[in-house]
Amino acid sequence: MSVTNTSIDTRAGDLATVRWWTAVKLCSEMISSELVTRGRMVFWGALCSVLTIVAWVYGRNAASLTDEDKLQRVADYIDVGVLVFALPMACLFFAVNSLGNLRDDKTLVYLTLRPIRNSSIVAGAIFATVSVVFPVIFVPVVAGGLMITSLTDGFLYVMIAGSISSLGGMLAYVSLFVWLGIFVNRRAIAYGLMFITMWEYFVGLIGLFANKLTVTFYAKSLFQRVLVALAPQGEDSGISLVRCARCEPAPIWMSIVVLAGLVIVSITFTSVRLQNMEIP
Amino acid sequence: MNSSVAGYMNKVSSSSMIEVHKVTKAFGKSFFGKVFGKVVAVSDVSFTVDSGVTALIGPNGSGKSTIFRVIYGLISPTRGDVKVLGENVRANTQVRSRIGLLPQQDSMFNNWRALKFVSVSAAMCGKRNPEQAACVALEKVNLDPSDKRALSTYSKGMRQRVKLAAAISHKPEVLILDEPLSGLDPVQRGHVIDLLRDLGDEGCCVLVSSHVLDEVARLCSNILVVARGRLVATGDYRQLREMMVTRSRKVEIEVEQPRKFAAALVLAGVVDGVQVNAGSVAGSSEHLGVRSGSVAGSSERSCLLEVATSDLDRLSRDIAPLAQSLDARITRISSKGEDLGSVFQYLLETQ
Repeated sequence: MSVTNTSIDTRAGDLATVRWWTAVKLCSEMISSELVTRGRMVFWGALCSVLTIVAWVYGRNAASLTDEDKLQRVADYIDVGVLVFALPMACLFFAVNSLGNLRDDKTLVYLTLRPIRNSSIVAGAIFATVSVVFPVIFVPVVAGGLMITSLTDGFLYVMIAGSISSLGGMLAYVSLFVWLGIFVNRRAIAYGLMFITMWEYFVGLIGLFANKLTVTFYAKSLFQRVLVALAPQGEDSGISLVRCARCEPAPIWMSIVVLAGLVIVSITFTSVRLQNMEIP
Repeated sequence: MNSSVAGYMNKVSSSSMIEVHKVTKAFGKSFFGKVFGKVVAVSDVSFTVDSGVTALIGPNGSGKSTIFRVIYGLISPTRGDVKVLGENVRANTQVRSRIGLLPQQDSMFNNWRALKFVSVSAAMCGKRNPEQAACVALEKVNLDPSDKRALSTYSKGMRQRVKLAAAISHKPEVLILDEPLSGLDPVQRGHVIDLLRDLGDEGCCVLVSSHVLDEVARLCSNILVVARGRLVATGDYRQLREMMVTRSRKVEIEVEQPRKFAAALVLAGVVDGVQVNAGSVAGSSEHLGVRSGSVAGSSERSCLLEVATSDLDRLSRDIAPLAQSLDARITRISSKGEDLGSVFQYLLETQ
C-alpha cells in the first residue's frame, strides 16, 4: 500500500497546504534579504542621484517654456532616462541576482526543498526584485518631474503615466532577467547587457516592425497612451515620445497583453528550468 | 508500540519510509540523452529505511551526499528511482511537508535571526503557528529563540543547530540529515545525538550521514556503508565492527635482515603474507631501534616489510621474540590502513 496525496492532506491537522500567494510572500521575503546589499543600494542610490541631476540640468531653463513644452520635456526625460536607460539596467542588475545569487551561494535549497510550487518561487523572486527596483526608478521619475514641470497642471498625469509604464516595463524586464539569471550559470549580466544594447537599443532602431519586438516599445506606448488618456486635452496634449513617434504607439490593451504575456511566459520557463535543473 | 509510533505507522502504511531502488548517478555533459566525460558518483545503490535512526556512513567522496541529494530531490538519478513515504519527491513536492531536511550547505540567510529562519521554514511547510513551532524547535537544539543576533554572527555549530531546528520544526515523519553533527562541540554533539535517538524512538524515520564511526555507534545500530559510490555493507553496528576486527590488517616493519625475518614470520604462522620492499630503504641514524629489547641508534641499512595479518594481537606478541632470536633489529613498526577509508576500502574489496 502506498501513501497517497489524500494522506498528505488529512495528516495531523497541524499542517496546512501552503497557499500559492503565501508561498510567494515567504519566498519574496527570503530573496529580498539576500538581494538588498549595502553595495548595491549605494550604487543605485548614486544612479538615482545622477538621474535627478540630469533632470535638473534638463529642466533648469524650463521656466520660460510653455506648459506643453514642459510636459514634452519631462516625457522625453522619462522616455530616455528612465524607460530606455535606468529601467532595464536596474532590472537586469537586481533580477539576475535574485535567484542566481541564491543558486551561487547555495541557499536556493531552502526554497526548492519546501512543499511549494516552483512558480511561487519564481513569482517570489519577481515580487522581491520589483519591490527593490520600483523605488530605485520611482524616485528619479518624481524628482525629474518636479524639477522640469515645477508642479504645472500636467505633473500629476505625467507621474501617474510614468509610474504605470515603469511598473509594466519593470515586470516584463524583471521576469525576463530572473529567467536569464537561473538559465545562465555565469555571465548573466553580460548576456543581459548584450540583450539590452543589441536588441532593445539597436534592433529597436532598425525598423518599425523590429521596434515592436522590444519591451521598451510597449512600456513607452503605455506611457504615452496613459498620459493622453489622463490629460484633459486628450490627443491634443502634443506629447510624443521620440522613438514611438516613428510609429503609432500600441493601444493600452495591447501593451498590457504583451507585457503580461512576457511575464507569464518567463515564469513558466523559469519554473520548468527550476524543475529540471540540478540544484547545487 | 506507543501511540505516536502507531500514528506514524497508520500514515505510512506497510511500505518503507525511504526506498532507494537501483540508483545510479553519473555527472557529465549530456548530449542527446548520452552522458559524456561522466563521473559515476553513485552506482546501483538500493536500500530501504524504516522508522528509527539509520546512518549512512562512508569516507569523504564516497557518494553519501549524492545519495542524499537524490533522496532530497535536488538532483535526479541517471537510473533507478527513489521514493520517500511512497512518493517521488521530485515529482510530488507536497510530500516535502512531511519530510525534514538538513542539507550539507553551510550557507544561510545571514541577515536573519535564527527564529525568523526557523519560523519561515515551518511556515513554508504549512505549520499553522510557525513562530511557536520555531521557538520549541530552537529550544530543543539548545538555542535561545529570543537571540537578536544575525545568523552571520553564529558559529558553525550554532548554524548547524539552527538548520536542525528548521528541519524538525514542522514535526516531520522522515528526517534526512546530511552530516548533522559536523561542527558541533562534544556537549552539543551528545545533546543532538540524544534528540535524534528520541525522535527515532517516537517512530520518526531518521536517516543521517556521517564519516565518523564512533559518532554513529552512539547514534544508532542500523548502518549503511557506502564506498566508491557503492553500498558495500548494511546491518548492525556490532556486525560491522566485528567485520573490521577480523579483517586482514597491514603492518609495515622496518627491519634488518628482512628476508630472514620475513621467512621466520611466515614459518611461525603469524602472518598471512609478507612483501619485502627492497627498494624502500629506510635505515637512518635518526630512527630509534629495538634490538633484543634494548633501544639503540641505528646507522645500518634496513628494509621495509609489508606484512598482512588477520591476528594483530598475536603478531604484536610474537614479533619481539622472533627479532631477538634472529638478532635482527627492528627500527620501526607502523600499522597501515587503520583509517576509516581503508576500512571502507576493505569492505569494498570483500564485495
